Amino acid sequence: MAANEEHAVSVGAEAKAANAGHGADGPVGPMETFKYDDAIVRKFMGVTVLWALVAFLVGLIVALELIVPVATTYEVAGFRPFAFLAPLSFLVDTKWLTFGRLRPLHTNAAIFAFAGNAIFAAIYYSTQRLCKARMWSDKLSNLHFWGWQLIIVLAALSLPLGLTQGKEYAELIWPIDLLIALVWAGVFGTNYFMTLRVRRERHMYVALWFYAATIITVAMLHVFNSLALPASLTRSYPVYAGVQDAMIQWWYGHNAVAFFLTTPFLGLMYYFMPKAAGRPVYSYRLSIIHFWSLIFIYIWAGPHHLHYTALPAWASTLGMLFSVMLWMPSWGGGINGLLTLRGAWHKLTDDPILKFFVVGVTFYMMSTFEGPMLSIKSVNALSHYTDWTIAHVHAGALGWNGFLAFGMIYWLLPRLYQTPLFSKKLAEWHFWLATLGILLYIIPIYFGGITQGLMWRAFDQTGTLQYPDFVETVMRLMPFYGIRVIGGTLYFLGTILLAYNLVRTWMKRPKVYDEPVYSAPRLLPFADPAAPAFKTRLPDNIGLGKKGDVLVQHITSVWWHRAWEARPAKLAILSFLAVATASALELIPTFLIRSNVPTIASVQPYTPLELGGRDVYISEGCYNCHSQMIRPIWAETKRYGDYSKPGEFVYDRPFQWGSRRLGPDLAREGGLRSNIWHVLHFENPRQTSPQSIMPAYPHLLKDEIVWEEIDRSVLTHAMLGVPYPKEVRDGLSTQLAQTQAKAIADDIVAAGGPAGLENKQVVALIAYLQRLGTDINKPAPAAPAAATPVASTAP
Amino acid sequence: MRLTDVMSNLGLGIYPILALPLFIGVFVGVVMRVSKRSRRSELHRAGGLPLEEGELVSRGTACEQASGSGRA
Ligand code: HEC
Repeated sequence: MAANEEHAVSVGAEAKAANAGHGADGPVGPMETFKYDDAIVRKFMGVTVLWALVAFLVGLIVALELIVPVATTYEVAGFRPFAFLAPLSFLVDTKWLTFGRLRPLHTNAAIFAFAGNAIFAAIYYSTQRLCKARMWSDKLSNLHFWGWQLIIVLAALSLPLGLTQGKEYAELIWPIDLLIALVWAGVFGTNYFMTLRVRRERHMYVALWFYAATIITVAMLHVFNSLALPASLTRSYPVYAGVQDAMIQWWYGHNAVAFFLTTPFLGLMYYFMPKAAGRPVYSYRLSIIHFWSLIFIYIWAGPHHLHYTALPAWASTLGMLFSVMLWMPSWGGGINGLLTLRGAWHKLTDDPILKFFVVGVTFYMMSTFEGPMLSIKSVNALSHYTDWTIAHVHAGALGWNGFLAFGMIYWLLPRLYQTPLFSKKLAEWHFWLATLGILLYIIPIYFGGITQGLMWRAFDQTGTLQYPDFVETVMRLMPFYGIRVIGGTLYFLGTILLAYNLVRTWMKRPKVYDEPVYSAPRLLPFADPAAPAFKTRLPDNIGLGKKGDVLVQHITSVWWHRAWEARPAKLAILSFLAVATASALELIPTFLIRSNVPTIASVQPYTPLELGGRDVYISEGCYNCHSQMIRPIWAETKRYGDYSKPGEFVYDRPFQWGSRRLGPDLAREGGLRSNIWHVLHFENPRQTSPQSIMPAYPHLLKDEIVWEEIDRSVLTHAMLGVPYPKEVRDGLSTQLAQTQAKAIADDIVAAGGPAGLENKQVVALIAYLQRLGTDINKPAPAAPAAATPVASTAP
Repeated sequence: MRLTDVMSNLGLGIYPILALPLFIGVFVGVVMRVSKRSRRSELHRAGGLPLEEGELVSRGTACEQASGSGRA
């Protein structure tokens, strides 16, 4: 091979001979030299650590917000042990910092800023090396970097301001959504697939497949879940309503976990574990099976479609089977990762990188065992809405995503800064702090979640709820929440050690980085000499028959598949088809078959004022604590009233079912409390419920309703097909809203409340709350306002 | 007549049911293909790809024109 080293270019035949060691099938072209772009990897790695700090810090703040209101007043024998937390009370009543606004910031920062930048660092480092090619365009690489950071900064500004779309993990407002689509698909996607096209290694290593599937699927999920009609620059309403919006949202949510937090990290694992262990992956064959099974099964394993479509029992069983089948590839994949260390286990004792990887993969196996388990209906009945889900996602995010990212960063640091790691000891400390931190986080929250679920469904001998007061079930969580804060703090401290190690290593970097030059032969268009040439076996047949026979031979020889694997465009199309077909087949029935969402004649559109109140509800992120979906379970109907029917949500854009209950369900809140109660409650929940952990919303009593916004809101809903025949006439919706607001404000004054609320946001919010869940008990209007016929009402 | 009416009458409810076996089928096909013996050497080589970086031509520093193999 030495012969080629000084020649940048040599003739194809020579290069082919020289390249025999590569074992690539197909012809190769002249030798080419190239450099890897490591500067971009350094950038992504740096911000990964920066955003990790931010995401975890905001996580700590929201965790504190849940204990501060109660802990500060907690007394034992006249002594207040947690009084020292009192200075933090501002967290609970500053409007920018309330739980409903900050929690989305925490989740978005953890997923899209921390995990996102980590996978970009991994992809930019490994793709270049696996392709033996520099990224296709340095400009696009940098545009990707700066574009993504801009998105993160915009998110960090807009979410505390209450600018949100109100859909979990898809909260960002539509202009930012557009930017995401542009940067992700247009910039990153183009750069990635073009790099695959100009690669110098014939075989695309499995990590590249995982990355490709990530890019395509996330683009698809993001675009379809974000389809909305803007009402202004910061506000928009989804084109889907109610059950359909929920289906799309959880199709997105479920698969975002699969394709943002799983597949790219598996690619990372399949590249960096062998690197760190110095040996190839245990079974490459298994890794390919792992890939295709995730692509084919994951989309199906989403349990949600089983609940709302009329699938026959055997199909439902098959669906369950898919979930269980998911155990096999996930565990196969996990074991594959662990066995990569075969014969290297002794290295584990003094290598923090391998420690992070091994524990990370272990958490992967744990989470992928738990996930399908949580999708089993009977388990879900207990776990849903409780903190069990929170424990589950943190095992995944902190254990799997966090540890894989940390392991990778420690491996990259000396290589990218071209100097030994500043301190291996600190890395060890990081590992132990983080491990202890995770355990102190998830174990109490598992306990808390299960306790919560059991208390909600506990009945006494007389058949009444044992804990009718919801607050009581929240109080029981407080000690667990306290320990969680300690666990989170340890994990955060570990990350500070990483940041310190990074900065100190960076300070030792050389004045100028080496930029090694590599060489590899160019690939020529794929024409496999070993590809069989098929001749028809039917000499006596007509032309069409002969062609058909050759085609059949082609297909059955599965030769096409090898060619497909080697071509990025085709691989991309194939994985897209797999994912898109499954999704379409899963979603179309709910969308387009009327009988899936029976309309209810008495359910009418919200009044303009209620719509305005709904906007306040969305903007404050009340869905982070309150569900609006009563399940057909005895304990729930007993506590909250009649279970929710799909037809009740046909005007909900976006749906606000929520996924967790830190407060009671609000689906039947209408008429439950007086207007004045709500005013006092929003001013400070501790006035009406002394042990409440709900944030105070005094600003709602001061901030004015913007009537034109309500106008625009009504108009936009009308454009989306909501039957608002007269309200859309000039200025009428404002007039209607003001009349309704006046009535509520008068009622509040009559009950001894403050005057002058008729143009304050609290009145709109109350109007909305008093409407919730009441339509179903009203008589159907004489002439249905809706133009669509009514299919049926629930029996 | 709206799109919903058309779609409602197409009997699409059967699709998810057809698709499940279809997907299992394709998946089993992939597994069988990957397990083919004839692919052993190809897969073996591919498994080692992360440990390659390309042939190192020079270290990229001005003074130091080292040559040698970049392979681990
Ligand atoms: C940190 C979680 C949290 C957030 C955020 C939150 N709540 Fe609550 N909410 C609670 C808890 C806990 C209770 C039960 C104790 C109480 O009555 O305050 C509650 C109770 C309520 C009740 C009384 C239900 C009843 O009739 O018993 C209403 C209404 C309510 N919240 C509305 C809202 C609205 C509207 C928002 C958004 C502006 C909101 N909440 C935000 C936690 C929260």
